Amino acid sequence: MAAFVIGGIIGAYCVWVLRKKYRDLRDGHACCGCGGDCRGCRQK
Amino acid sequence: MSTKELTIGFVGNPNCGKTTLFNAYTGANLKVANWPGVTVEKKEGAMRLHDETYRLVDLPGTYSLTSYTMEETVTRQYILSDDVDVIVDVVDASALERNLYLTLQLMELGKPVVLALNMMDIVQERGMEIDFHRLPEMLGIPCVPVSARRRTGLEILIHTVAHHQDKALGEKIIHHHDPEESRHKDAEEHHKYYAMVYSDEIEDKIDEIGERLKEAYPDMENLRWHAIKILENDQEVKERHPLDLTDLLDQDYEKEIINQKFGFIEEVIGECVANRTRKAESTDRTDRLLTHPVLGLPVFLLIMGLVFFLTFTVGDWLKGYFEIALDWLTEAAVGGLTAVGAGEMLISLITNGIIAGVGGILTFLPNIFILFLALAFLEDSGYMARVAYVMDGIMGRIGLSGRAFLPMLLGFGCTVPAVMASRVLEDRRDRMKTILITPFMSCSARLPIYVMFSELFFGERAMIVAFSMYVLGLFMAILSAFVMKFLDRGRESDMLLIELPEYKTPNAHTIYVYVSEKVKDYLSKAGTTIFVASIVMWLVMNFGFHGYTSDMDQSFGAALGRVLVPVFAPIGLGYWQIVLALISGIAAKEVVVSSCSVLFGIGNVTTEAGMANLFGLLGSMGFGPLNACALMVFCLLYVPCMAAVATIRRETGSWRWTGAMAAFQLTVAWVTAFAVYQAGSWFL
Repeated sequence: MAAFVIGGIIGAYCVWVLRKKYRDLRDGHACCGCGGDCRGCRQK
Repeated sequence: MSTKELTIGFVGNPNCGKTTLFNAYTGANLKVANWPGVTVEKKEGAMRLHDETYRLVDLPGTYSLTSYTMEETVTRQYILSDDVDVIVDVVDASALERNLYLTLQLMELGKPVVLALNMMDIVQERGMEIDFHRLPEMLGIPCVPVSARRRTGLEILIHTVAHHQDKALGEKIIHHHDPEESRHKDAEEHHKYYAMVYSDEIEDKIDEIGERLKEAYPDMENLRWHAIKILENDQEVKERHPLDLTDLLDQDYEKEIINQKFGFIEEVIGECVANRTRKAESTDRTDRLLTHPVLGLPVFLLIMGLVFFLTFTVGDWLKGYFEIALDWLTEAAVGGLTAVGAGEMLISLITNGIIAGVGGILTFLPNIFILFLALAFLEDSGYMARVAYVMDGIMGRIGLSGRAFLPMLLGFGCTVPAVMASRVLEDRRDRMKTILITPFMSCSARLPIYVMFSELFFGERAMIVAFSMYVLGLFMAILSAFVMKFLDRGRESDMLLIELPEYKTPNAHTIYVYVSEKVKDYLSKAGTTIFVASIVMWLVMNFGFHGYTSDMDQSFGAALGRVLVPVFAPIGLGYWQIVLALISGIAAKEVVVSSCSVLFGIGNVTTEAGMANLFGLLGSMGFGPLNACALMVFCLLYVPCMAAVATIRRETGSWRWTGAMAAFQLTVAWVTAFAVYQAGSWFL
C-alpha cells in the first residue's frame, strides 16, 4: 500500500514536471534560464 | 481610481541602468550586469502607485533609433507602436554628453518623453554638478534625478510620468536661438516647440518633405520625424512610405543631422553641467593594467584562476557539510521506508534513484554559489566589459565581431541566455557562428562533473585540471571561429564599439539578485529535470527484458550502452555505464554526475566514502586519470543540454541549423577527446 501511494505521488510529480518542461520549452521560457519561474517571466 | 493603465517604456543607452530601474519598480529579478547588451528582448512588469496601475516595459539598450541592429529595431518598432504612452529615457547622468543623442531622437518621435537622470550617486561622487533648472528649459521635457541602485527619486519619476502623459510636444521651450538670425519662414514656431532645430537648409528640406508626405499620406502622424528619417536615408521608413524626392535630396544628410545634434548637445552640456572634466582617475589607472594589449589576457586568466581557487577551496569546505547532511538523509529515508513496510524496489528507487541523484547534485551547491558570487562581483564591478575589450583584437583576427565575446562571457553562467544574447550581433552569419561556438564556453552545470572527476583522479591538482577545462573551452571556441573564417573568406568583421563603464563597488542588491536567482535555478533544476532524469535512469538501470532486476548487467540501460561502446572506445570512454551517463547528460549536464550514482549503484557518490567506492569501481574497470580527462573534455564540448538546444532552435529558426550545430559539437567533442586520449596514451 505504502509503495503504491509513494510510487503514485512520484509518478504524478514526474508527469507534472515533464508537462511543465515541455510547455516552458514550447513557450520560450527557457530564454532567461529560469524555466518560467522568474518573476519577469511570470509577469509576461 | 483610474481605469486606464499607463504604459511606460524604459529606453536608454546600453548599461545606463534601465533594467536596475525596472527591477526597482516592479520587484522583478531580471538579469542586471555592469556591461552592455544584457537586455535583448523587451520585458514587461507592472506596479501600483497611489491606486494607479502602471505597465512598465524594459527595452533593449540602444545608442540611436536607426534600424541597423536587432535591439534598435525592437526598441524603435515598439516605441512607434500605439502601445507605449510615455517614454522614460533613462540616461547615465555621469555621461550625459553621450546619452543625450538618443534623447534628442526620442523627442523627435513626438511622444511624451521624461528624462530620468540615473546614476546620480556617481555624479555626486565625482563632484559633477547638473543644473536641473536649466536642463528641462533647454530640452523642453521634464528631467528627474534618480538613483536606481539607491532607490531614490523613483516615486517622483512616476509622478512626473503621470503628469506628463498628454504633453507630447511638451511646454514651449524657454531657451531657444534668436529666430531673427534665421531666414527660415517658420523659424519662430520651430524654436518655440522643438528643442532640436537644425540649420535653415535642413529645416527647409524637413518642411518640404513634410508637406509632400502630408499629401501622399494624409493620415500620417508626426510628419517631422518621418521627414528627418527620410533625410537620414533610413531604409525602413523609405520603404514603408515611398516618395519621389529626387529633386529635393541632392545628398545624404545623415552626417549633417548627426553633427548638428551633437552641436546642440555640446551647447546643453556647456550650460547645464559643471565640473564635468573630473574623471575617475582610479578607473584610468586600473584600465591601464586590465586592458593592457599584452597583459590584459593573462590578467583575465589569472582572475578566472582565482575564481576557481575560491570555488574549489571554500566551495569544497562547505560541500563537506552538505555531504554529511546527505548521508544522514539517506539513512533516515531507509529507516523510515523500512518502518512503513516499503519493499526493496521502492527503497532502491528512493535511495539509489532520487536521493542519490538529486541529493548528489545538491551537494555541489556551495561550489556553484561561490562561482556565481565571484562572477557577479566581476560583472557588477565593470570588469567583464574590459574582458570583451581585451578580447576584441583576438575576435577580429578570427573573423568575428568583438561584440561576439559578450554572449560568450555569459556562457560561463548558462548557455541558454548566452545564445539569446547573440542577438546583439548585427550580421546574421556572425550570429550563427556565435551561437555555434558559445556552447563551448563551460557553463556552470558542467562544474560538478569537473569537481567530481578531477578530485577523484587528480587529487591536489584537481583545481588546475578543472580550470584547464575552462581554458580549453575558450580555446576551442576561438579555434572553431578561426576555422570558419577560412570557410567564409572575404568578409570583414565589424569593430567592437563598447563602453567601458566606470568601475564601481558592486551593489549588494544586484549581487544578491544575481546569485539568488542562480541558486534558485539550480535548486529548481535539481527538483525537476534532475529528479525526473534520475528516476528515468533508475528505471532504465533496474528493468530489463525480464522485468525488475537488481543485476544492472541485465538492464535495458546496459543493452543500450553496449551498442554504443564501440563508438566511444577510441576516446577512452568505452564503458557502457559512462556512455549511458553521457546520454543522460543531454537532459542537463549535472545528470552525468547523478547518473554515476545510479549506474554504479553507489548510494551517495559525491560523499568521501562514495567517491572512494566509485574510484575503486572505475579503477577495476581500467578507467584511469587519462579516461577521466577524456570524459571531462567530451562533457565540455558535446551537445549542450535540452534547454540550450531548444533555445538554439528558437534563435536560428531552423531545425536543420540546430541539427547541424549539434552534429558539429558532437564531432568536435569526439575528435578532441580522441586527440587527448590517444596523445595521452602515447606519453603515459
